[in-house]
Order: sequence, then C-alpha cells, then structure tokens
Amino acid sequence: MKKDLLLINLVVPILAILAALVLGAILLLFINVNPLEAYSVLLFGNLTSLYGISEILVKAVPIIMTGLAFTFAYRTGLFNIGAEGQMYVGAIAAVVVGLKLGHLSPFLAIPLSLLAALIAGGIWGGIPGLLKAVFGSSEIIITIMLNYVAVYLLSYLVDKPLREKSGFYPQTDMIGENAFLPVLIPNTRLHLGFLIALLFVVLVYIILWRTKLGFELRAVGLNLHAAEYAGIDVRTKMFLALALSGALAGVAGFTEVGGIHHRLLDNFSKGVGFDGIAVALLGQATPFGVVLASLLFGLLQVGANSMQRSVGVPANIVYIIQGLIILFLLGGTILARRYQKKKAKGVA
Amino acid sequence: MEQIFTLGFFITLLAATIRLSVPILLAALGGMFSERSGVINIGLEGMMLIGALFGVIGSYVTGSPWIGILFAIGGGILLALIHAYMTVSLGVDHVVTGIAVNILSVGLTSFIFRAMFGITTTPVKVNAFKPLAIPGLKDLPLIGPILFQQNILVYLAFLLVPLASLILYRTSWGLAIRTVGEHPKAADTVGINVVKIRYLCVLLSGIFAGVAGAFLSLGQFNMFVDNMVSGRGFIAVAAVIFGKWKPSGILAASLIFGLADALQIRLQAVGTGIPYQVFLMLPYIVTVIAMSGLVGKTTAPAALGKSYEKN
Repeated sequence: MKKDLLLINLVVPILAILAALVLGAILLLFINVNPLEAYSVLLFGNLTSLYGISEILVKAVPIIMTGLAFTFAYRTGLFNIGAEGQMYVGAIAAVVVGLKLGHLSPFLAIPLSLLAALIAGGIWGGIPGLLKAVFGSSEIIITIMLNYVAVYLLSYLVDKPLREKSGFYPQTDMIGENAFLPVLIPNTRLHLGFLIALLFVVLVYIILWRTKLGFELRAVGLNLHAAEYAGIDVRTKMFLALALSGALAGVAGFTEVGGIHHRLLDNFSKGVGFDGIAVALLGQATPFGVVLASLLFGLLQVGANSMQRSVGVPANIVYIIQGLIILFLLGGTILARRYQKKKAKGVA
Repeated sequence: MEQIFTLGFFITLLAATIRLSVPILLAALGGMFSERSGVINIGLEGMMLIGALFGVIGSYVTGSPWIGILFAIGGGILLALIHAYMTVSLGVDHVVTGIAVNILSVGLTSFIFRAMFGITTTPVKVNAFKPLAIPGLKDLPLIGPILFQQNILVYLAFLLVPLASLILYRTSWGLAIRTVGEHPKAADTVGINVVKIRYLCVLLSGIFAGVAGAFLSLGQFNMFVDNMVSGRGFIAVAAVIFGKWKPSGILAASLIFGLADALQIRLQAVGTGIPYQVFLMLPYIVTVIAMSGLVGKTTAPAALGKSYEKN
C-alpha cells in the first residue's frame, strides 16, 4: 500500500516533469537550439551562486501563496481561478497602507499592510463565495471575470487617484521605507515575505488538517451531499473557503509590493495566479507539495530568463513546459491507478 | 450627452454589437455541443488563442485568410484532442484539464509567435477578411448598415445558429448527443458509442473555438498579440450556461455580451468623464451579473462533468 502511494505521489510527478522537459527539448530542436546547452542554463544556471538561488526563492514566494489559495478552495471542492485578481487587490490594499502609514514603526507598518492585503483578497474571493452560496453561481466563471475587473481597477488607480506625484509614469509613489519587507541575506532580493509565506504554509496545514473547520471544509470537498446530511452548513463553508482562499492570494500581492516593487505598477504580475493553480495540482493540493512545486516553478522561470539572455530562446517556453507538466501529471496519475488496479486484480 | 445618442450612434453601436458577439457566439456554440455531450470545456479560451495565432500564421504564409481559418481549425483540433483524451479516455477532471489546456496554449502561442517573428514583437501585417456588403440588402434603411455590411464570417456565424439547432433537435446525431449528455449509460445500452460522440463534440468545440479565435485576429484586430482573447473564451463558457445550453439562448447571450463590448468601446471614445477602465470592466461585470441569480440551475445536462466508464 505504501509503495502504491509512493508511485502516485512521487514517481508520477517526476516522470511528468521529465516528459515535459523532453517535449520541450524537441521544440528547441525545431528552432535550431541545442537542448543540452539551453537546459543546462534553464535548470542549473542559477544554482551555482547564492544570488541565483535567492532569485529562485524570490520568484517562488508569490507562487507559494497563490498555490495555497487554490489548494484551500480545491480541498473544499471549489475552483478558485481568481488568485490573479485577488493578488492585485491585495497589492492595492498593501500599497495604500504603505503610502499612508509607511512612516510608522516597521512592527506596525508591515503587519498592517499584511492585514490590509488579507482583507482585500478576502473580499475579492468572498464575492464569488457569496454568489456561490446564495445563487449557486459558478465560482469558476465569477472568479475568472473578477480577475479582469481587478486588472482594470489597478490600471485606473495607478492612472488617476494613486498616480505618483511627478505624474510621469502610471505607477504610485514608493511606499514608506518602514513598510518595506527587510532583506534576509545582504546583496540579494530575498525578503521577509519568504518566511511569511512559509508561515502560511504551516497555517494552512493546521487549519485544513488540525481544526474542526478544516475537517468540515474537506468533508464538503470530498462529498457535498454526505457533508450536508451530516449537518454541515455547506453554503457557509463554501463562502468561507473562497473568502479565505482569496485572502491567501491577497498575501501574494503584499509580498510583491513590500518585498520587490515597493510601489504599485500596472500589470506587475505575469500570471502568478495561474502558476498557483499549476503548483497546487503538481503538489497534490498539499501545503508542503505546494512549496516544492513552487520552488521548481521559481527555478524554471528564473532559468528561462537566463536562457533567453544567453541562448536566445524565448522565455515563454517555460509556460509550455509548465502546461505539459500538469497534463502529464493528471494523465499519468490516472494511468498509474489503472495499472495498480490491474496488478491488484492479477494478484487476486 | 444628447448629441451622443443620435441615430448614427445607435446604428454603429448595433453594427459593432453584431460583430463583437461573433467570437463569443462561435466559441459558445462549440462549447454547447461539448457540454451537451457531458464534457465541460473551459479550455475554449486557450483554443481561441491558438486559433488566433494559427489564423495569422496561415494567412501570413499563404496570403489567404481562408487558409488562415484552416490553420486555426487545426490548432483548435490539436488542443481539443488533448482535452478529449484527458477527459473522455482517461476521466481526468474536466475543469482541471481545461485549465491545463489554457496554460499550455498561452505558452505555445507566445513561444511560436516569437520563434517565428522574433523576440521583439511588432505586429505582423496579414491579409484579413474585409467587409462584404450584400447587394440589395445593404441599402435597407437601418437594417442594412447594421446587419449586411459585415465580413463573411459574421454571416456564417449567424447561419450556424439555426444549423446547430437543427442538428441538435432534428437529427439522430443530435438525439445521440443529448442522450449521452443526459444519461450515458442509457445511451450505451441502446448502442450509442459514448466515447465517440463525446470525442466528436469536443473536437467540434475545438473547431468552432479555433474559428472564433481566427475571427479576432483576421476579422477584427487584424494581428496577433499575446493573450489577445482576454477572457472571451470564458465569457463564451458563461454564454453557454446563460443561454441554457440552447442555440437560441446562446445567440441572445452572445448578443448581450457583444453589446456590452460595443458599448464600452463607444463610451470610451465619447468622453463621459467616467474613467475608461470602468467601461473596460463592463463585459466582465455583465457576465458576473448574468451568472448571478438569472440562471436556473436545473437546465444543465445531467451527466455534465461526469466521466463515463464502461463496465
């Protein structure tokens, strides 16, 4: 039994990653690039220096948060495809706090901007949660639609009311320095957000697997009707799951603003919300799995940029590899289960 | 404000509504077949995106937008095959598969575009579809400029509505599709090949979504940009639900979303003092409202999203 779990949880993901890389290599051959040369940069180029490794961690931070966000709703049987938008409103809230209260002590400014991001993300996730609970509206469609609304909300805010004083670029002024997330290792960009993200990893694990609320949420996710029959208020749980999921994604906005940009820019994320879905699936919707998968995606994305610079391969190939990993993983898991069933039957 | 709402304004608004509803209508009609057979397809967005790129490539290479459409169909079929294999053959969750298809499509399109046209992307000029005024009808007052001075894909898309209705409700294929979506086991018992029907319906949705994407790149914007579908595929999924899985309902839903899109473009231009971003949000907010309470829950095909395993 234990060996069977190992096959599904470890062997299949690794094979999925390898298969995706092989297909990616074939694409590279098509554009006359030596895959070995390209992959040595993609996979190992940033592992040889402390700065390279720190960049991978920096990239992984928001992906961990959006991955946790997807995991949280997914465990309740819901699809939150709106982490991107929830992250944007989280960033907006964090920046507003950072602009107004960034002169306070860091011990106030940082927790307050985190709290603001949690609340804003929670509201943005709570709207589809409410609509799901009251009308039964598809949370998939609503969360996706709210992504676009958030994009234009951000675009409006940096264009008009929050635009920097000099008015030159569509961006806000810098937040107060006391709201910056401190750098953990000198001469790198690795910031406190990394530890905060790990804290949330533990927190999500505790909530989902060690509390009554978490038990009820997972019960709804495993079997809605059984949960309802057992007396669990399914609608409230669905609302809560999406609101908390949104709050987690909001934190991704907080880490990006406080740790990296220190201001709000138009379109500062390139699909971190969607990366979160991918890492949650690759990490088998477990908090620890999300961390591992986020590190892999961080490595791939930082590596892809190096690869574009040194070998001239469009960095977007990394999204092909990510998509393929997910497809191979999903298909591979089913095939592995079928194989196990067949074997079990053969033994019996 | 009064000068804005002239007759001319309404004519151009409605003409644009017709045009802008087409990509949603096409993708949603395809999505309807997929969902009617029991397969949720939120990969429509990605299938449109690859259709948009392949359309441009086909027209760029051959100079003919019609060949572009064929390329787009090929791209749509490619992703639809993946979706069908994963959901129908393997029984993977339909929504999760759709998400993966979309992620793959974003990567594939931006990679192929750069590999073909260079990393610094300047819009590539291609031959696109030009408006084709219908002799006689084009001169009708009001209706002429609204309906009959569009490009040929617009006419074809609207002709597909009664055709889809005919296939779904008046042919044995349609009956088979509906049976598979409602009660696959019963369909199986009476000798309908559930797997084959579902494959065909998903492929059909890929074909339609591919053409819908090519409509964007060859009939509307006349170029390819990364992520240019920007949610229209998801709106199409919403249109299927809002249209209650019926061609006529989907037509109405697509026109509403088309109107929201046309309205926002025009309101941006006239300078109302309201930030233009508010208008850009309009189609998405309309979708949220449409999905909230206005939809009955009972109309979805009974076996939607459920995989079927033959014992």
